[in-house]
Amino acid sequence: MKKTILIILVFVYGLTGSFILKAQNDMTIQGMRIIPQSFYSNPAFIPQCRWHIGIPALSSLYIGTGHNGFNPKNVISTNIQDSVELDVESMLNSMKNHNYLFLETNEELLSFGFKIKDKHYINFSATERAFARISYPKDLMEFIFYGNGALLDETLDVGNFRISANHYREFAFGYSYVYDDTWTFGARAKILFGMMNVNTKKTDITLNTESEFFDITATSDILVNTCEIHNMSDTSEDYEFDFGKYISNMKNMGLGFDLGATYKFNDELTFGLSVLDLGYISWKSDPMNIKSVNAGGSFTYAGVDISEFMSQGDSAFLQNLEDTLTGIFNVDTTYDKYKTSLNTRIHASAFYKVTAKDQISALVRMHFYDRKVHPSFNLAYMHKFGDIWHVTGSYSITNRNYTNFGIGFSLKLGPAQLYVMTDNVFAPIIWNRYTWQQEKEDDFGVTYWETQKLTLPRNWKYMNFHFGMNLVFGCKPPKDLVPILE
Amino acid sequence: MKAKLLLFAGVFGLVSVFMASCVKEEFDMDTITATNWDPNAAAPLINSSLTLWDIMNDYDSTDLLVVDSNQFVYLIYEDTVYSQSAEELISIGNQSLNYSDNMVLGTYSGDYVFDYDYNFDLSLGGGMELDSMILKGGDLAMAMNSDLSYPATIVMTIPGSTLNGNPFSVTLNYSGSGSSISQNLTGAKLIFDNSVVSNRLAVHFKVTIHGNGGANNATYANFNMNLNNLLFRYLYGYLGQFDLSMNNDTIGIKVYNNSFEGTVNWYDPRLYINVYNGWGVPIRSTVDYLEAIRTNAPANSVIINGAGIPNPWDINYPTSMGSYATSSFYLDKNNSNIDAALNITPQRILALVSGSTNPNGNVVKNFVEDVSRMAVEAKLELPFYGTADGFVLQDTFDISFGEDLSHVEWIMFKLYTNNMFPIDGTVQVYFCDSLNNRLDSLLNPIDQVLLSAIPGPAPDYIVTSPVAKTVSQKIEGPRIENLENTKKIVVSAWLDTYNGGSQLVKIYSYYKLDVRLSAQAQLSFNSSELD
Repeated sequence: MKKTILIILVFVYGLTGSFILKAQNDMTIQGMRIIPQSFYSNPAFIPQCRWHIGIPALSSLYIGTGHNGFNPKNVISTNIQDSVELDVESMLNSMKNHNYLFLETNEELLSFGFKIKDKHYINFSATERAFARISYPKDLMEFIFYGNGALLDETLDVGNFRISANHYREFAFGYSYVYDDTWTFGARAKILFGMMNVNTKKTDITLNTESEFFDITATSDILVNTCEIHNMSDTSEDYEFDFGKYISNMKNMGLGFDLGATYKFNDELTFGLSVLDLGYISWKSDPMNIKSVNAGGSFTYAGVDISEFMSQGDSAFLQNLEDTLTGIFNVDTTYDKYKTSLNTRIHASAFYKVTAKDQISALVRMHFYDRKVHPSFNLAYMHKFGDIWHVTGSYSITNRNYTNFGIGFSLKLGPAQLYVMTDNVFAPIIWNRYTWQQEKEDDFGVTYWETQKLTLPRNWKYMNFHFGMNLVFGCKPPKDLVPILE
Repeated sequence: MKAKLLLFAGVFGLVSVFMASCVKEEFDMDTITATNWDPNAAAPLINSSLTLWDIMNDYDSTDLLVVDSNQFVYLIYEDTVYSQSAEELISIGNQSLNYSDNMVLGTYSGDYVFDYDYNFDLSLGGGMELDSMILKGGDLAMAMNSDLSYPATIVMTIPGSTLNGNPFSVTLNYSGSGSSISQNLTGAKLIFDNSVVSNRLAVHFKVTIHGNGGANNATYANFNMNLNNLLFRYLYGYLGQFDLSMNNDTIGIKVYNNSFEGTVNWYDPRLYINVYNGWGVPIRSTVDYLEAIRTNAPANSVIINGAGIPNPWDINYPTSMGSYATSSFYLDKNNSNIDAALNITPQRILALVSGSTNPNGNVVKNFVEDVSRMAVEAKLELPFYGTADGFVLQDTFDISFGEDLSHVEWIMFKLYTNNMFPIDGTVQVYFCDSLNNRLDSLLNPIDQVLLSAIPGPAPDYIVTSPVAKTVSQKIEGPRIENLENTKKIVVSAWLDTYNGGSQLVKIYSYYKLDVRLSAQAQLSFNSSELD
């Protein structure tokens, strides 16, 4: 049990620490129009500054991670005897049917943007984007901890481990147009070049134990697509992974679009709506597809047929059973190209200018994946200390977590702009450390015990960090222009 | 002031985000206690649709079940209680002939011929009087002892007899007293002259002396002839009177091997005795007795008798070499007490049969081939038609549920039956230690797991609908410990035919018993036990 818990912790959090993920940006940035990169949350958001040039490789670095399953602090505690207690019930109760790990990093290599006659805004960026999203089913955990006997007549989704991992390069061309005093429209067209992909389109393995005779029925339908993983995992002696070839791969092309609009209701209130990352990538280099030979095949174990067992003998009987199971659950490997969609989001936002220096904003973000809508909500307050400091405090509900307090600020010294922000300022502050003894063996075959440690955020439901440096020019608005938000 | 506030806010933010991380709690996972893992596992164990063949498989070979055109099932036990070949029955002993005669004295120049005729009377037991005998083996050894000083050639012939298709003739070259020759008799056909003495062979010696002009001082000629190791292929004639020992063989009734109590009333059992006679010899047989014997406790036996048993019983015999004749009789409830004998659920039937050949003497010519046989077969035919009352079957199996079941809180067994047989059954499984001491029983209290299907009207008594029953039993608490110590299980089944064994039933081949056994177990593990 102890090891099982540790394995789960390591799986959930260790994996989180080793991947980077989630194709979305922080929500705090959207109201900070002094930062040119706020344009990415809605292409109709024309930045405050007329010109910007991102410091190459430093203009925007986003790292985000999250987990909407259980939280270790709710599972592991110390009792009055100073012994550790595991609360499995709490862990399972805090899970949903599908639980996700998110990891993402976006590294902007190059960006610039400029306004033309205050009605047009043109933007270009080149960004290296990588994300992974891993889901694990609550049913499997319940199956492990409760057993199938406690879950009779329930179809357990035990195989629904889904991985969507993507590394691609994005070249984006953005254009915004101020239509009139109330409407502004914007769009970004993106040319994408995929480097690596893992996409579990289907991993449907179900288990059902009926209550009358406890017959166990299992079904299987698997389709996993990968691109370049085959090459990356090649362990043959004569193969050496060529990173240069990997990073310059132009074979997996894709297209993407961001569309946005804002509506200025009055001088104080403005609404925004955007659809981000509509598009796809076609994966063609070193594709590999692992799929069920008998998609949707099922097998019901109803017990041993004694007469069959006696007539065939135990070895022949087991061989027949194995052949049957293999026929139903066997997977085949093909090497066909495939497409994946981008992680499409819809942002609906509202901005209310309280004073010339104070702004309240709200954002509803709907993220679409696994055929479901995954909503988030953000409420932010921004205060401008002149044009030098813009400080934002935010509160977010996301990843089934209600304690995300974010902070962000932008510091502008002359043309140099530095910004830092996070949607959850407390997540990286408090950590828990888990230690245990693990038996090991030295080179001489002598066993010894070694202390293993795992240090994890105490509450790591949602955590991100966004940092960047730009050169910005013309940030003071002309007196005859009434910007949308300023 | 404002600048300071801005600076403070910025620094605070930076420090908060990047610098203020700390480890709040440490957990030593090796101290995990009081964390239980209580999975509940459920699985089907057995799912069978058993026919009578499947059920009988544990007790007997399935090929003993036969089905008639109405799908009615018979259980048949067959055994050969006697079988003997002619070669095993009849043996021809070694035969010897010595004959001496005088030689005529004189001086011979050139060949001089003497002829001698003798009778070789074979000594055969049982009053046997053969007309002919064809041999598949044997030796003839012939020698001549004499004081004859000339070389001589002796030709021995048996008129009418042949050796490999030619007139029987053996030549001995005499060179001095004691000269001899050996002849293989395979393929020899010996013709006997029974006109004066039984089993007589007429033998002729032709002695040709090759004289050289010297004086012949010989006074005697002694001929010695032996027939050794004779093996016949065919015998014709009268074979005499032999006793046939056909006793002490049994028919095993394995279906009763594991029965211990109760009665089974076969409504129409039959015992067939069939004789297959390949000997061309009249045989009179006597069935000394047939006995049904129960060896399981309480031991019992019943002598099977009745008008159906022919005593004496003249066995038919074939009229030509290579064929066989069949004789048979059968016993049923109308001509014997076979039904009563089988009611004691015997494990075997003992048949004691004797007989003799040519009961009326030498009135019929006989013939046998060495491989021709006479066999007596007994066949017990048990149509599945009758009643059973309190019939108890019991069997013992080695088993181990594991030596440590401390993690098992309870086990529930669920047994479902859907029975098309017109049989009620109560089954109990006893958990026993290695010394067969009963530790516990599965069903507590005992329950009827098989509900009889309802037979239709006479005369076919056909069941049309099966009857289902589900029995479940939970074993928990101290009873789990009994499972730990279990080394054997004894399965006992009390079976009654429909309506307490009071109504006749028939079993058809399409009857099935669906059995489903499932188990559910509640387990409990403490974290300290899971390292």
